[in-house]
Amino acid sequence: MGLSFILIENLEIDLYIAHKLIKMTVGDDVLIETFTSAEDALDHIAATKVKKADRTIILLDLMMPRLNGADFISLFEALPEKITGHYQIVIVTSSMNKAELSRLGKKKNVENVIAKPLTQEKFKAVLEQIQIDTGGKEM
Amino acid sequence: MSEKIKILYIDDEPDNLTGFKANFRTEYRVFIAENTVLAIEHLQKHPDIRVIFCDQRMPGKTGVEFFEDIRTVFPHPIRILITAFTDIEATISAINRGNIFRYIRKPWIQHDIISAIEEGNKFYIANSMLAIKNEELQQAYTELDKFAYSVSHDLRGPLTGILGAIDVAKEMSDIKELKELLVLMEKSVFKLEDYISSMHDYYSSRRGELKIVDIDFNEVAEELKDVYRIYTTTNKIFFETKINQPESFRSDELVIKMVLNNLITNAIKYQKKNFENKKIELNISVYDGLATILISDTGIGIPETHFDEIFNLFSRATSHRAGSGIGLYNVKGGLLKLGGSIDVNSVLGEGTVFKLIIPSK
Repeated sequence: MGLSFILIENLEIDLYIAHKLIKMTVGDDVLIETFTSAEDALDHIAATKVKKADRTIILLDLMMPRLNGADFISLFEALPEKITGHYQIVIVTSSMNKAELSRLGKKKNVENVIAKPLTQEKFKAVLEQIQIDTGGKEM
Repeated sequence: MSEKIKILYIDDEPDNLTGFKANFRTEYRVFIAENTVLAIEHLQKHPDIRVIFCDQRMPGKTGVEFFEDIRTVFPHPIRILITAFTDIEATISAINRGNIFRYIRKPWIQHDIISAIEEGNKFYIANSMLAIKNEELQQAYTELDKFAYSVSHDLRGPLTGILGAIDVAKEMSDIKELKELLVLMEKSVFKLEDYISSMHDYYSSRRGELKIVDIDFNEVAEELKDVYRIYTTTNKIFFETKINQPESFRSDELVIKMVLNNLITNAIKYQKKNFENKKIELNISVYDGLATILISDTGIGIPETHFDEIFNLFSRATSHRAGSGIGLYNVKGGLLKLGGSIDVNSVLGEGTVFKLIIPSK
């Protein structure tokens, strides 16, 4: 079904963990692209041609130097809907700012917010929720 | 006291003005004004006027009205009314509304004026001190806020990273993979350690008193070379020092070392990854009581748009490498305490030069 992942995270260890968890949960051959800078990720997304059946889940850290996660979401939202429609954002953060998190959680393209550390249990739960959600809508 | 206290006297009778000035000009710097318009001109030109005397009965505006008017625009000078018995009602209500500090009965005697100036001046100084303390407090609060915010990222970040790694490690059986994970966990622990020690630097450089001693930059440079030998050899960085110190130099050794340590650590940390001729140069020359220190590297460089903000607390110019955003802030704070300055020049992808000027104490 063309499921792939984009990881946006500036901490090496968190990037490694997310990578590992996806492979362990979804399978070894799933496509995962990693970015340590949100700017690069945004450029990549804007430039990528998407096919109809493609679905990409973005795991996004919030506190990053330069372009942070919240700003990334705003810029992402400004992209054409025929691009953004293929992506679902899951925020993965150690932030304890509840107001900010609930504000971002309500955004159209944001599916869920996960508090770090990212564990297999949390990741599985979110994955199930996303698949049920979109499965219901598309079929 | 090195400078005379500035006072302003407003009265519509020229005789009173000249009499006042003649009486107090040796003790104080006296400004006089025949009307409130001239008085405001004086206040605009000399914002450090500390005490204002104003006659109550003047054509156009009374003294009480004048003080009420200027209170918001010039809140700092102490306001004293000069008035006759008949105006006592107006005076009392002006005092109660906080528009005047005290009043002096007409005709005034020299002693009353002097005591009013002295009391007013004490009050003025206390108020100014309060304002300065307030500002310091405000800054401390702002920094505390930033700390609270950064704690969730810089302290929790590496910790949650380690926790996450432990969770993944439980599911892994491949020793090679586990070792990879251990290396990452170790890095996170180092990052925490680094953060905590720069917080310690932050407090000691802010709160500590200076301890001025003779500084031999040749010794300092040798020590730095020893400390960083491990890093420079494993990373194949050529670390060169050039010291030219023909005269003695006095400063706080701990602060100087903290500054140099931070800058050299950065120079090591931000080298280009696959570059052949990595180099760091430390150049110190002391002349006419000024130490000029140049630290240049062949690193990744800093974009020009970030030159101003890199010295701010928790500012990070690069997304690729991990920094706490406190190091350069400590550097600037330390130099400020020593009366020194720092300048940065950098070409992206070529390298960075920090130039420090520190006066001998």
